[in-house]
Amino acid sequence: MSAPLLAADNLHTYYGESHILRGISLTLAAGETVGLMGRNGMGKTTLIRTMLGLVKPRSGRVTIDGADVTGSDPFRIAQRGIAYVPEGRGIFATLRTMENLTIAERPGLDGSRQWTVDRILDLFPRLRERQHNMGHQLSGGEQQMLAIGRALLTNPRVLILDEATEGLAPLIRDEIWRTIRLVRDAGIATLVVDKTVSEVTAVADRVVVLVKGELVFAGTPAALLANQLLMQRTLGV
Amino acid sequence: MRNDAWGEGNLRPRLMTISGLLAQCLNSLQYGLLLFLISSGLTLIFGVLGVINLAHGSLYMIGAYATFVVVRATGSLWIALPVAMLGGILLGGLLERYLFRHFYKREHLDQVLLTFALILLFEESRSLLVGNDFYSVPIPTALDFSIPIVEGFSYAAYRFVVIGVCLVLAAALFVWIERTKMGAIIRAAAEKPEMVDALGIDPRRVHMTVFAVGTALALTAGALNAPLSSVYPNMGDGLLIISFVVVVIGGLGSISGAFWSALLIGTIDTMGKAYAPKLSGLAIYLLMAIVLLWRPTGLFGQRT
Ligand SMILES: Nc1ncnc2c1ncn2[C@@H]1O[C@H](COP(=O)(O)OP(=O)(O)O)[C@@H](O)[C@H]1O
Ligand SMILES: [Mg+2]
Repeated sequence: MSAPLLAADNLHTYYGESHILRGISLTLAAGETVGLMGRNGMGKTTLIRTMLGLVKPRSGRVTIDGADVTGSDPFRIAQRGIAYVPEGRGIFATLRTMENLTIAERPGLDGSRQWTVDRILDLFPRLRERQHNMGHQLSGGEQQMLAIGRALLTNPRVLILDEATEGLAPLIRDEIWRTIRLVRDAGIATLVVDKTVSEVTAVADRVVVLVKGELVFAGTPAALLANQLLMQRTLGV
Repeated sequence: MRNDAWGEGNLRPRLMTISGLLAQCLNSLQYGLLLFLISSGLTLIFGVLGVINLAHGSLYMIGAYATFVVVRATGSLWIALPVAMLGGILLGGLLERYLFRHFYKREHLDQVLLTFALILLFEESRSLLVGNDFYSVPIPTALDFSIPIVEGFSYAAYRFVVIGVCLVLAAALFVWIERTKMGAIIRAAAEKPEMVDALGIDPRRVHMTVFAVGTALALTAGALNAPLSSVYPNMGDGLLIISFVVVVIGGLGSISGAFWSALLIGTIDTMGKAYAPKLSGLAIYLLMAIVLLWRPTGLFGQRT
């Protein structure tokens, strides 16, 4: 068996003295969709940021295609084909919509240019209408589309979405979930952090559940849905 | 009303004419634009790299001395100007690559000490290489004349050239920052550096570019002004201080803010020196204090 595209191996991450990640291991194979779930403050964002090199773990490893990238500069990890849609969207408020997209555009690791600015504007017609507006003039939904479009323009192998539907109107949420399916169907491995259990379990191949920095569940969506007690205790649903 | 700062001894009748006023307006513009060349680099470097470069004034000094040396050797300011510009890019690139890069994550005090040490290093090198004398740089003979503006008033042609070159450089800087991909990346890096990294953009290239351009602008300012101010030890010190005022009033990190602020400070300083010499030293610092209290983000730097 070949090494997973992206993997966390026994990660321990601290913020100062607080022990946030307590030995997390997680793999993401090429083309796979994994749902990462858990209540607020359980360490989902910290796990993502550790894998992206934005936070350094105290111990444990992050690997891409089996190669150790722990402690690498974030831009090098991103250049290995890992794209990130951060919690809060991370739009450049002082850049126009178009600039938010064009600065991200580059060919994928294999030289492919599947995702172009035009394709993103076709995917999100609202962004085409707003292309000359500044980032801070966009609505929350438009910013989320922009964050996803920007990530796709790096022609990634992996797309990591942190709370991409949080705080959005139902219609916009639906559009984001449609997009996530489209990305999955395009063969991009996706790691989806979200609190909408029904949607995550519908879109993911596997789900994992975090409680206080530890994995308490890893399995198929069906197995999670079948375990009412676990869902109630760890997700509150 | 009688104001002591306008003391009789300082009342220079020639200034009180229309042509005197016109001359001071042109001087204000020229000085303001020069301040912009210096402070735009300072604010850009602070905005993107997070470093307050105290040695920025010394870079201006280096530009002026380089111009003096090149003009002495070749007799041509037109060779000295591109030498200062390209030399600035090279010097800035090297400084960033081998020095500043290692200080972004350090304490502010370390950064202050580094840039302060650079001032001493640059001035000592200047003293060893060129000595401590005052030198003047001749205005190119082709430009050593005055252009008549109105009856009885003419203005030095070289000063018009300085105004023109500064305007061209300012326009080029605006187009670069506002209309190119690199400019957009620089703005993005000033706003959310971590997100720029996460997009796979190499931040080292961005830092080096910004530092090189900022340094080149400071050297170019020194080169342009050398024939007007002559060259002397520590000549950048006063300009560094006043450039900080420009940067603060313009809003830290804002290029367009620095532009309007530089023109404002250039005018206040020039007019103050001409019409109220005793007040002028105080005026701009008073303005800075008021702006800091009233609008800490600066008068012009309203981006988000
Ligand atoms: N920058 C930080 N400094 C200190 N503590 C933090 C920081 N970011 C998050 N935390 C803490 O780490 C824990 C995990 O946070 P996070 O990874 O954001 O959780 P989640 O994404 O699952 O909501 C929380 O208790 C949070 O308060
Ligand atoms: Mg989170």
